[in-house]
Amino acid sequence: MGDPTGYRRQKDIGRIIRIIRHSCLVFIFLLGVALIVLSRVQPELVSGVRGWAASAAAPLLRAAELPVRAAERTIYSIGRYFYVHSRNKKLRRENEELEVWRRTAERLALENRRLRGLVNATDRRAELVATARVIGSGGGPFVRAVLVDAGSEQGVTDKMAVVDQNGIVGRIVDTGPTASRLLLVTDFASRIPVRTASRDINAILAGQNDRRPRLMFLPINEIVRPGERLLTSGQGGVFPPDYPVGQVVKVEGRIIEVELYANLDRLDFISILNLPDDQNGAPTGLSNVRSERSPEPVSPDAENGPNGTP
Amino acid sequence: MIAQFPSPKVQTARVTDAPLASAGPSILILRFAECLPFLLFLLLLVVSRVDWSIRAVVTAPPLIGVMFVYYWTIQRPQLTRPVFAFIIGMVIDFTCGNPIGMSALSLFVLSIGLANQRRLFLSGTFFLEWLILPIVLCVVGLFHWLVWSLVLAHLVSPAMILMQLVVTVFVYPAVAFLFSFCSRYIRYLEEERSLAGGG
Repeated sequence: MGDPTGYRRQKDIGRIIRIIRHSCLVFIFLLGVALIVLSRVQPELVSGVRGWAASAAAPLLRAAELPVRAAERTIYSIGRYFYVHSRNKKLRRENEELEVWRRTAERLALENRRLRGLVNATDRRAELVATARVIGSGGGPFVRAVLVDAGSEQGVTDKMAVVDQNGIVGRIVDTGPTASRLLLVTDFASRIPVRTASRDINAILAGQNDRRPRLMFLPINEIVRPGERLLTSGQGGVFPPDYPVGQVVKVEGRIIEVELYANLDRLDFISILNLPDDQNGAPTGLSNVRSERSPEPVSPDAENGPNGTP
Repeated sequence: MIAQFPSPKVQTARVTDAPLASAGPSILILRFAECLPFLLFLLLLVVSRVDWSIRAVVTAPPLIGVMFVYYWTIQRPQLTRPVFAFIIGMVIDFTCGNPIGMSALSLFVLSIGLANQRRLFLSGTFFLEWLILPIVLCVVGLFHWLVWSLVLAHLVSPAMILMQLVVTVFVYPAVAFLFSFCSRYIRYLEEERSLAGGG
């Protein structure tokens, strides 16, 4: 009982500190709740920060994946060694078949270009913005996304379409300076306008967070069957038209499942495309990429005018 | 397989017998050692984000943040204050594409809850710690499921979250071993420093 005033003051200070501490904890709790609500109501507000986080993680992911990729390559090489002869024979046969198809494709491409020139059709081909590599997983149990090593410094912006050598893969959702997040076609939030290749039936391809997205919003009385091939319709202005998407594999009542052409489990290099606003722009990078895959014998500029007119 | 460092008793003899013995590890080394758990957490987070061929790791990556907060709140609560747990959760949310605030809030509440129940764990063994982890994970998983359902505006299937919880339970002993290595190193430095009269 030496100094009751000092003791009481110390007690008061302790009580104030405790109240401040508890208030801080309550504030942080409410901040967390507010952030969750914000990410539901205004998801685009946090998109930029996600892009920056992807860019910050990109160098680390690149370094971390080196031993993983090396191990995968070794295992893959060992596995392939045992099938090298049978595989070689199969590839030779496929190559001969593809050679026939290549000549057909060249002839059709030339014919198509001449016909388009005759009717002065607009060209809706997309520009190749960047070729990037998948460097890491950007999702979790309810997000199907990957990180790619191209960002705003390479000209990438949100909502750009992404394809690989087999078909469409998804679209860019969060862009950082050197890396971006790519939302895959299989994600629950993914909706892509498509059409059937044989009968031009328009529908929407909706991701279900599993391997096979579903076909929805088909016109009434239209029926699709297993085996039907799907292409992008070009509606919506994100995906260029006529890109291969996948094939209908299962139809059960209203549930129509689609097997994608792109192998999303083993993505490596991808192409990020931009669909120009004016739609009349001459094809640039993508035409070069395509010409590497299926060489076109005649340059459009050599035969047609600036807009494809003869 | 627990990492062993030299016993502090050996150090005592050396320090008292030798008149020119060093004054123990500097405070900078100690502070750096205290950062090791966080650096290890970042490393584990990066490794969990690598695009593995094993589908379970990609689609249901283990909850690194929960493991971090769970271990360190029990072992050294001064290293994982609730505010720090919140920041770690924000890092996870931004890098993993979660709804912002989901991991932050769950780790924040988890660190407060565990700090209050710490005595229960300290008196038990690692097996008890591992046994209680699924219960903690179920609570966290339920919260994540509710938030995902809110954000996606429909009741999502809990199967993926359950898979994530199972992966986390099986990965935890390995992660705890790495964390225990850090913990023992920090304790060793602290004891060395206190014996040398540096703190």
